[in-house]
Amino acid sequence: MSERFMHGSPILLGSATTPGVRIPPELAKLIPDILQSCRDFGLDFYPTIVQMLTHDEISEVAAYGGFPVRYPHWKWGMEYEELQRGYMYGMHKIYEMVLNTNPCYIYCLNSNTLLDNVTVIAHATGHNHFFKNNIYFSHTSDNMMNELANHGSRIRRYMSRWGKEKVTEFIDNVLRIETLIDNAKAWETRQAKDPVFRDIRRYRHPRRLPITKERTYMDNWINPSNYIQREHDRIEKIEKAEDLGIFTNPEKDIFGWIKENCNLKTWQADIMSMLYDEALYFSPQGLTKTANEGFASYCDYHIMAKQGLVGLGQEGHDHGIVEYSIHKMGVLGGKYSMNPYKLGFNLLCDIEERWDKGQFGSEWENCDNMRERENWDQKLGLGKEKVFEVVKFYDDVNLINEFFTQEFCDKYEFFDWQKQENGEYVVVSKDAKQIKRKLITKYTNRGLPDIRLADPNHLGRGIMLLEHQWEGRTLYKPYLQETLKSLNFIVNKPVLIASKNKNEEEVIYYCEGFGDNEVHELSRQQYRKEFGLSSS
Amino acid sequence: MCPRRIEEDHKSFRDVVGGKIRKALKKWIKTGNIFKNRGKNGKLSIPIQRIDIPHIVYGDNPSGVGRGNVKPGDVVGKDDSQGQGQGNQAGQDEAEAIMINLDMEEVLKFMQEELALPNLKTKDDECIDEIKIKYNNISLVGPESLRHTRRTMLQALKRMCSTGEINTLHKIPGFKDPVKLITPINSDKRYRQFKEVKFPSSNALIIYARDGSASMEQNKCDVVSDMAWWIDVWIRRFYKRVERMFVWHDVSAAEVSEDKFYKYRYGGGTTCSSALKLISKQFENRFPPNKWNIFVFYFTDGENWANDNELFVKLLKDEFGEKIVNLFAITQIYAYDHKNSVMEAVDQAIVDNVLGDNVKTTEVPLSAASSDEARNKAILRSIREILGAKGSVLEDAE
Repeated sequence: MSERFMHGSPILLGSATTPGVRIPPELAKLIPDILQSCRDFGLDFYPTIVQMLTHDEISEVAAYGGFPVRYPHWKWGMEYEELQRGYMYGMHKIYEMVLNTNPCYIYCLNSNTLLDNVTVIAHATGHNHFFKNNIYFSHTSDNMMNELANHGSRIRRYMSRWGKEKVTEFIDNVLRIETLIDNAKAWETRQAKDPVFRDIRRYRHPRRLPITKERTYMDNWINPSNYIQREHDRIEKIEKAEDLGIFTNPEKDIFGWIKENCNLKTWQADIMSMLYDEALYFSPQGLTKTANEGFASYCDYHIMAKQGLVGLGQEGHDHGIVEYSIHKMGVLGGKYSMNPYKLGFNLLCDIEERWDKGQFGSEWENCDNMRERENWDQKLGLGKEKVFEVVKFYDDVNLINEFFTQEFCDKYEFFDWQKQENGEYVVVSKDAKQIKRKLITKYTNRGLPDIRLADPNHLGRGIMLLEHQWEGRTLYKPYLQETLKSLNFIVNKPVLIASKNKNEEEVIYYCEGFGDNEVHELSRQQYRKEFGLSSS
Repeated sequence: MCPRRIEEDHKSFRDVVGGKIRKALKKWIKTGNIFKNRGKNGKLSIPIQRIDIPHIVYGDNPSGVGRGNVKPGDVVGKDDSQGQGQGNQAGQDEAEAIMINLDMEEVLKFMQEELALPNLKTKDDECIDEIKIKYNNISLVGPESLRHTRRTMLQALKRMCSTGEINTLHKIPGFKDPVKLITPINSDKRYRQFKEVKFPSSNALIIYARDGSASMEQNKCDVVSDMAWWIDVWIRRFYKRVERMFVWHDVSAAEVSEDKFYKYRYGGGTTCSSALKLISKQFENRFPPNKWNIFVFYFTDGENWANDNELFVKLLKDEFGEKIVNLFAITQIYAYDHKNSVMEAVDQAIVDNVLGDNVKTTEVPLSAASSDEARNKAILRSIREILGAKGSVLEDAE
């Protein structure tokens, strides 16, 4: 059986420097039971290592994003300070952390009660199942702890070779563009570029419609000469464009493109490729946050409450249900707030209920009788199966797109608010369609603006032209300017970004570099004037 | 316990914050805004930008989704950060900043570097000596508590060697073989002895004087208050003991308390020389110039009775020579251009070499239209002028 339990492994000791705390014996002897319950529930997960840490240590681990072996950078120190302060002033507390690795690490906090820790392990095993089975995680490395440690030691080596300040400055700049990646790139098999030894001309032939042998006499009619001529012209155009190095497709994966194509020093290219790998590794967690957290909550709810694990290690078999419920409400609570845990949990519970009752398919969709719909129950009992299927194939956007229905919206009381001029947030509507659209916008592309590289050699002057795909929301200017400066620093070329302002007028932000380290804001006319384009 | 990896990163984060503080402080000093902030309890708080790693993100989010039992039209929350600075970029920036406390000592050190203010000089010859006790001498008599054991034993050794006593062997319990002994007698004993050491004086007297006529309006008084506070902080850096004296005058002058100095207003006419007369009287008995480093700061709006200007210059020349006061600074705060002002007369006298180097003049142009920043910069420039900073560091930096 692959799902074995490993007792407090020494990985956090020694090289990784975080001394682990021994697991209290009363919890240690419960862990096999908890994992068995999870298995009974149907979870399929990586082998698990449970670590018990003090708050200081868990802050450290959390500051490093779960991997205490990462490269040195001040941003971890910043996270650490924030977490420490938050804990000191009683603002928040980390209950658990779980890593997407094989074996899977679960960190518990030693100041939590026994029941909390049992819940945490059940919850984290839900995450573990998600990591192992969800399709968006299928391309992440299982062995990230080692890979990140390798990155750390490589970057340390560059630091000792080129100076800590220099390397840190470069990393600072790269971190600013780390959101400009395309998550779909994880599916592409990456390979080193073949070195070019000689120019090979690849012939392209005009596309002809297929004709069977008996009908060759139809050829002139099916593939007329003017059509062939058009195809020839098209191919010629493409070849010329390739010859001149004209960029044809807008590129979403700007980070990856820079890494591959820009003029970087070897150490810079290496650092960029490492950070790119890390960004790709962490991106599915952003894509599936709601589904992931929802599923983990769904698991611990089933295992703790329905399978009765709340009594584990307690005096009576149902002791602890109150404590569990209070904590559950703490996690899923928040007045008026859009809690992603709660949304995911409710969506999965709703799916389970609907598929248990058979509320799906064309028959259900086409039923207009409200009374019939209300009492619809075919006693199919497919709920759990469906939930596990959803967990396997869906990310946040697809989950909401498919299962956020009118009924769901009404039942869980969603509303749509808008900020007024006096700063008040006012409810505008409770329309399910509108709300769904907003939710999907929020989750698409991890809630970040869609920026594309339109042309790396704009106007033939080596200017990098980015485009903001306009969806009706403006960009945050101070951050945009800083990011442009960083792009300019990395590629060492002038950078342009085309976007729109509040009044939907075109705005162009321009960072020239070469000593002029300011970002200029230009209108279209100013841009034409500045770049000497004709006014037509 | 081995050192934890986070400690290194945490330290580099603190360094990043430190760099931000220096930058913010530089900005504040450059624009002169720091003169509106008075440090309390030896601490000054300045805003610095929040530290973050910027990414390309969306701007202000004007709408969203929530959940709860509400109906359309209900208010579900409020953005407090907007408040007064509605739609104002400056307001937004400030909302993002966090306040950081700094030691005044650090601020002053930074001011010294940034504003290139020179160190203040004490008077050349007439420094009073301050007496301090130092134990740097040896005597033959004294209390046992001050006995210098090493010297005493050395003395005993010398004596016993010269008399040959040292060669006698003594049997001591606990030692197998007989040993040589050094035994001090009373005449060997040496004691530490204090000596009075004279240090150069560090007494300073700051005299603030101001014109209290009706034309000194509220905003001018604010300028006086801001400048006086920072001058005070600066001078205290150099002198241990600082006395302050406040003189207020209209037609006649009077010594007032600090509170009243800033609050009194609406006197009658203006006779600037009356203040000088009052101050110079103090030098006879109360603050003899040979015992004090004296700094006089005189604030006026320049309006004076015309024939009084001559008297003013004459008094300056006779009673406030280089041997008497270290610095006599005249700050003229004016809203309009005045002919025949006090400063004009004094400047003329300086050009004619009637007055010494210790008299300095500066002006703070002030009008209702001028912005806060312009005002602060003017104050900054004036402080540099009267404290004798050379060059134009600020103008270069802009």
